[in-house]
Amino acid sequence: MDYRHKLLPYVLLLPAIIGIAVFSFYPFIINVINSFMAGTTQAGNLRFVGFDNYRYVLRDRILIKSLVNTVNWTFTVTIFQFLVGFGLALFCTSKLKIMKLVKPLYILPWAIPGVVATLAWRWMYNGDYGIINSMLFQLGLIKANIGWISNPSLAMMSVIIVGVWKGFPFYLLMTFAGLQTIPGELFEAAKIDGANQRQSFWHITLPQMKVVLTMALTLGFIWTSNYYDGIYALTGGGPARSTETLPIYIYNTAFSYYRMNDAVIPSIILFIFAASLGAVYLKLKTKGDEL
Amino acid sequence: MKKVLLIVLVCVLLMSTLLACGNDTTTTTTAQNGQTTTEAEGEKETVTFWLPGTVPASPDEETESYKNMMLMFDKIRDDLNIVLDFEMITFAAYDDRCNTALSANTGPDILMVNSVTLGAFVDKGFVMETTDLMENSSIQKDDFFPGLFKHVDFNGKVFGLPLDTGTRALIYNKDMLSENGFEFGKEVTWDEMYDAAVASTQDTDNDGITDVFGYGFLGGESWMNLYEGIGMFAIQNQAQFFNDDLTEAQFTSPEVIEAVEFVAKMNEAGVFPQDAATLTDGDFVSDMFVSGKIAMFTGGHWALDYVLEKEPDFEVGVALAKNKQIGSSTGGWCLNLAAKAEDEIAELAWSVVEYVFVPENLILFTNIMPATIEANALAMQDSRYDLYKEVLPFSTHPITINKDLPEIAKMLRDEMQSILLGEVSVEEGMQRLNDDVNTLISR
Repeated sequence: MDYRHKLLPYVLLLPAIIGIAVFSFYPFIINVINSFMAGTTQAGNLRFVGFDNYRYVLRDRILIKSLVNTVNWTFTVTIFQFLVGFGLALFCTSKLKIMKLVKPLYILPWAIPGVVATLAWRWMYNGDYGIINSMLFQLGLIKANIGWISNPSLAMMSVIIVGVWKGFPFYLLMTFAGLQTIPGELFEAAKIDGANQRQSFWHITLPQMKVVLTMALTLGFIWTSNYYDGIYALTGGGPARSTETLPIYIYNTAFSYYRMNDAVIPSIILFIFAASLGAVYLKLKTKGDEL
Repeated sequence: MKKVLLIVLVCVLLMSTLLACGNDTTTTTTAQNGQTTTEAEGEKETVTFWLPGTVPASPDEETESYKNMMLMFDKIRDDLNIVLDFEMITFAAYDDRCNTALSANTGPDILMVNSVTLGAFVDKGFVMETTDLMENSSIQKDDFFPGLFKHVDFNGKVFGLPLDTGTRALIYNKDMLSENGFEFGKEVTWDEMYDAAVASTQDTDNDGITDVFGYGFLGGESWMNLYEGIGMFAIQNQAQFFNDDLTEAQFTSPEVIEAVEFVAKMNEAGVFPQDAATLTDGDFVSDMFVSGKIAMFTGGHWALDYVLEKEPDFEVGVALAKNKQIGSSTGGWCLNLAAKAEDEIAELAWSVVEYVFVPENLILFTNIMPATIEANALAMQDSRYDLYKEVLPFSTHPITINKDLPEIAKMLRDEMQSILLGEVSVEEGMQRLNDDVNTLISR
């Protein structure tokens, strides 16, 4: 009975392990092997080419550009999503009656399907007939139409705005929940000791929220770095590849150019990035559980 | 006992998940031929046929072209005495579905392949060489327009047959041009086109912002840019993007540079809409044209049909633009045999292909221009299509079909965007493109 009791957790984990092995681990290994190959079995020219594919892909100036775009997109969007979400979460702790009406509206961007929202933004951004240009023109703020997604200098900023709008509710929910767990007595004690709001925020709220905030940001970085559909629907990675991030580069290489073996290589880069952040997340979660 | 039940439950849940993952219900619309297999049909060979399109949700929504296609499939079944299983897959999912199935040596016996992806499919060994099948066939190379047959000819080896195509021409607002003092004949030079476009570009409500544009340029989508954008101008200027054996890119040749400079000149003159370099929606340009916001644009006969169906309140004209020659880009679909098809099925599948290419059948099957000379003469009899048919013998694919065509088209689109958006000069952009493409094709 004793050995069965010890074996049970592993047996219960077995289906999940098999699932991960079959649907994640095995395809990953096969793809890595394919990244050292060229040709196809159907064409009868499948062959080992060593690091030739790596040499070609890693020297591709478009890959370098997409990596820069990915870093820009990931960090800017995540940080601003966090700032807006956390700021609104603090605002939501207000006891005003109107907050009951306002709070659900903050979740709306998250609730709207991604591609639907993105297409709506695409029309709003239209250079000739978009509502944004129309409003700004009528307010006298611009004298000529602005190419929000047709100007390479502005396209990434426009895409980032949509990304922040779409994703801030996640941080709002996470941080709002975290704020509810801070004991009220701490604020009362601080008030008695003469602390003002700013001091309470820096010395009580932030330290108490440290684990929640770090976990939310880590997840945010992982998800944002992988984000594909909204950017693709809005700009397709253009104009002139100014918004082409790594996921779009991978998709184009694999499914538009039919260079499956090459597409694995930037996927590995993305995997290393996400796995590193995933390790950070797990470590923080363990620490959070201990607390 | 409880533990055993728990383990069984977990395994059942896992199996359910695995089975559910096997269902593909997301992106495709399929229609089977609806035949149930009777004893007699059990003796017949089955040929599977994949094609892009959307199955109508109900009989009321069936278009004329869909009904014609079903009619043709019924004729094939009856006359060739086979079971023909066809599957219609939505356009957006079609290439991916074919790629996935053929990679796994599954999929159809016959499939339609777009000319832009045929090179990649040939390179991957997905489609069968049909040179030998053509030797004693009822269909021969001379039955096709030469520029179209080049789509399926890879250094003397033939892979399938070109099915249909479409040419492009200049569609313009006769009334608007007339108001601005211009009248186009059957052929229009670049200078005439430029002058008319500039004269038509206006701020009609005097708010300081242009609201009527001279030319609707679509630079955002790589195929539109190739077929109806820079590709058209290159052909009209007798420019070639590659040498004959596709070993060297020629994006820096004087003819190509001249064509790109002409597009850049139009852009600088402000005749393109604000987002022209990134516009991807052809219907948007057509709608702007119908609304009187664009004076002219390059479009296929389907764009002309779209415009005329909207019944604009002005007269619509069609002309052939030229600089050194008239000409048009062509693309289109090809009909291919899958390489996986075994010999016996391959011969039967080829019989189906031959049947499709009988002129009256080809007209039923395709709702754009048939690729054979005889069928083309019988199709699209309306006089509105005259110029589109007239330019077909002078038409060709802007870039010779090859395995890297999708990527090269995108690289060309991106470089054109860089040029039109002022990031680089024409010479710098074309030189950079030339270098990148040469690196790609030399692998």
